[in-house]
Amino acid sequence: VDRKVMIVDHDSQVRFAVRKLLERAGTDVVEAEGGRACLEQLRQGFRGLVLMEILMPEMDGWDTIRQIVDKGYDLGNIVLVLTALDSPGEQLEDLQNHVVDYITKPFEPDDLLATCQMYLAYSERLKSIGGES
Amino acid sequence: MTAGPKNIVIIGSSTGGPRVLERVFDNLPRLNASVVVVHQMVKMMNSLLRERIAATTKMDVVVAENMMSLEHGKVYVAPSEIHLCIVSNTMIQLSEGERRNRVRPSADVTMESLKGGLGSKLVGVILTGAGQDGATGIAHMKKIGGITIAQDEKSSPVAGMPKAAIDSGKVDLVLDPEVIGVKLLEVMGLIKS
Repeated sequence: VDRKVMIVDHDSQVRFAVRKLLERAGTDVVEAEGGRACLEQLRQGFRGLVLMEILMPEMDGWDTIRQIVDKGYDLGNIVLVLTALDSPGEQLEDLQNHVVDYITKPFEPDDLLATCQMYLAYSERLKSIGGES
Repeated sequence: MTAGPKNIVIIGSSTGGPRVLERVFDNLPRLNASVVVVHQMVKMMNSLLRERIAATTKMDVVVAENMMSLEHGKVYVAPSEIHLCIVSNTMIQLSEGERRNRVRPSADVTMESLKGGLGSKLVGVILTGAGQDGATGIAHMKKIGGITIAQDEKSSPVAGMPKAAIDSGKVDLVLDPEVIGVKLLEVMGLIKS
């Protein structure tokens, strides 16, 4: 089964921890160290669940999500925010359609795993129905 | 199916909603009410959310369509990018229109379309989400005799919407998602309070 998660975070320790957590549960994980790397992975055809940090240097998570939407990569991908930003503020209000969930760090491993598995189920159904325009 | 105005539950949610809705509907038996879910999402998620809710509850779950008559025991998921109103507490009307609170569909729009004095039991619920959609609608539902509920901050992935509803001073109950399902059974007379 093609169960893919992309972890977008400039912190390599977070990427490592999330990768280990999800890989143990049988999920394929790809890493992106920032917004530009995330967009490149999407351009190359990544489809699945994207875990997005908001607080990143150069291109932050909000800008990355806006570009995901502008480029049409939101079709076929589900974006979940996993961030050190406690409160999303107004930035989320215009992006609510495109951010399925919001989890703050430090996260509970079991909670993150269960939430990812739930949205991976959405993601797999999305692939099977080919998305709806 | 009984004719006339229906008992109606309106649930508003946004970011974090799919996870929370599954907890609200978890094993929820058939209610003597129509449940309308107004959730912010992209169109491709409409049928997926319907499927996920249907997998958790005993009620039938459909994506709402224009001119659909409300039936008790059914859950209606509001489609993306269109407002959902309820005419005479009996029928769904979908309509284009400006965004409200930056969103469409808006829980405020749906809740404000309900009428009091028609013999319906009405419940308004605001779950996780950013911004303040639902706060005005909750005040309207309280004014027309409905029962109003907000998700507690601790269990809300994003607490903006429930907090705005609570700050309006018109929320009767602040509850954890699992307890919300139990409360709906109480209000609809399926269990004693």
